[in-house]
This record gives sequence, structure tokens and C-alpha cells, in this order.
Amino acid sequence: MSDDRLVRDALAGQQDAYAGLLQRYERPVFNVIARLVHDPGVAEELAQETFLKAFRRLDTFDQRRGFSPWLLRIAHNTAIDALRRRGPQTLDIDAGPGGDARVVASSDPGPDRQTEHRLAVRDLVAALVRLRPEHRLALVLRFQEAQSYKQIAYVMGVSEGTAKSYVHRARGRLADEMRTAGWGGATNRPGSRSTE
Amino acid sequence: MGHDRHQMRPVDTWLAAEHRSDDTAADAALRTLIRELPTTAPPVGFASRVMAAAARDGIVRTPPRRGWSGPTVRLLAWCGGGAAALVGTLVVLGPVLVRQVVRLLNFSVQGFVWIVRGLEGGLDTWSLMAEIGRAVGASLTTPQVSARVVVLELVGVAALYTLHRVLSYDKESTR
Repeated sequence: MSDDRLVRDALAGQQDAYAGLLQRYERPVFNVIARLVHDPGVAEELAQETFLKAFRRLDTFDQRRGFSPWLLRIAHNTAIDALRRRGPQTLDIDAGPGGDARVVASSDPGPDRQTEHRLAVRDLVAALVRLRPEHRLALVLRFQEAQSYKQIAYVMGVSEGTAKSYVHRARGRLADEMRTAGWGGATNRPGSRSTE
Repeated sequence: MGHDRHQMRPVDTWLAAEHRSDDTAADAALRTLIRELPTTAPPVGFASRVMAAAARDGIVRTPPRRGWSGPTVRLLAWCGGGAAALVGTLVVLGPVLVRQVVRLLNFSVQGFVWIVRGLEGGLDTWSLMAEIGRAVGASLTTPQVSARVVVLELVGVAALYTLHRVLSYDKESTR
């Protein structure tokens, strides 16, 4: 069933439709918020707040935008408001998903490669955490949630050019962090791009 | 960091593409890596907690009770009762009514013939009217006719009451 159909049914009062939207989008919403706030307990609270806001405003949803960007925009704004209220936080460089949040395992390449893979994932996650929140979110939206630049711009409330710039800078910064951690072999020099 | 990383092709592929400034290849390689990162799924029971909160706040309303409402049931009962009464009346009294109509026609024709003969025989108008009045009065005061008149009046009262209930329902449903 399409998102538009679920929204129409939800507005008609069908409780199952609300539950359907919730089940379809709980993971991406939680993922986006958790990447911003790094605290699973706070992420759950904010994710719940996001869905309640979305359900209250369901009659304002514009089908031309797509439900996913609309909902992720609410999630983004909710998380950003919470971060502003909390003020600057000291980041744990090993911080990542944890606590009661469930980490969904990735593929299993084999014993030796497993260790390599685990190390790479650890370093990548740590590097991701050190990015600026807007760069990190843009990267997650682009590569994990498969949003277009136009959708990323809408979710984050910026222009499409700014969204592209966020992704580009995030990629560059991430690459530098991984090279610093010893990855990349012959290209292992922080900032080692042929052109900027 | 001392351990050998050179066999980690996806990361090396990505970093090599970044080094070459090959944005397309770098995008593709990084997409593969990022998708392999653990995603943060919500804790068990998250969805039901959200639905409970939404119901508590009145955001998600309980769907309207299916089935017929009280006024609708009453209206249907009255219409059904009225239709049954009408059909019953027609079934029971139909043959009687037909006979009465025939008798009335017959009576009318005979009366007309009697009036014409009376006028031809020299009766004046007042005498004729007196005779007609006496004849009609005599036919109406029989027990059968009286009972039929009473039944018809009762049917009329029932019909008026049913109409009143239907009009009352119409007023209720538009509030």
C-alpha cells in the first residue's frame, strides 16, 4: 500500500493506517535522530515526539513532497531543537549506537575479513560522529536513506546547492579521518585529493 | 595504527577515488560502505508506545462504531411497521373494500334511477332530499358500517403518527 493511501486512510480514522506508517518509518526516523543526538534514550523520546507531531499535522501533508522527506524534516527539526536546548555537548569519540537501541548487524564476509571489516566499521562510525551535525545528517540521508539532493535540501531546510556542499564536505572530512586512522594505503595522506 | 589494512578493498576503493577526485566512483564506494554500517533501530515496543501516546492525546481517534445508530434503527422500525400495517390492511380489507365500492356504485345508480322516477312521478325537491337523507342514514347506522368507519379512522391515526415519527427523525439527524 502506498504512503499516500495510508495517509488517506489515517485521515479517515483508520487506526491500522497510523500503525502502518509508524512501522514503515520508525527505523529511518530513529536512525536520523540517533545520528544527531547520540543518546538512544533521548533519540527514542524525540522519535516519539516526531511521530506525534506528524500525526497531528497529517492533514497538512503535501503529497507532491513525498511522505518520507516530510517526516524526516519533522524528525530533523525536532532533533535540532532538542540539541539547541541542550547546548554544546562533549562527544565521546567512540560513541555510536548503543544502550537499548538495537544495532542491526551488517553482512558477514568471513573470519579474517570479519576483523578487518569490524575495524573499518568502528573507525568509520567514530569518524562519522566527529563530523559536524549537518554534514553527518546530509551524509546519512544521502547514503543510508537514499534521499536525493532536492529531498535532503527540503528535510534540512536549506538550498539544494547547500545540501550538495554538505555531502561533499562530509565525504572529504570523512576521508581525511580514515586516512589519519591508517586506511587508504598509498593514498594515506590527510587531505590528499588531487584538487579541492 | 599497525595492522595491515590493504585488504579492505571497499575503504581503499573509496579513498583512492577521493584521491583521484573521481566523485562518481567515490560516491558509489562510500554508499556501499555507509550502507554496511549498523543502523540504529528503535527499541522493542517503540511502535506500541507511540500508538498508546497518540491514543492518549486524542490524536489517533477510535474509529466510529460500525452498525446502525439508535435513530436509524427506530426509523427503520417505524417504516417497517407502517408498511406492514398498510399491507396487512390491504390484504385483510381489500376484498371488503372492493365489495363496498361495488355496492356504493350500485347504490348510486339505483339512487339516481329512483330520483329520476320520483321527479317524473311528481315528487318535489324537498321530499326527494328527505327520502335520500333517510336512506343514507339507515345504511350508515348498521354495525358493520360503523365498525368499518372506526377501523378506517384508526388506520388514519396510525398513519399520521408514523409520519410524525419520520419527521422527528429527520430533525434529529440534522442536528
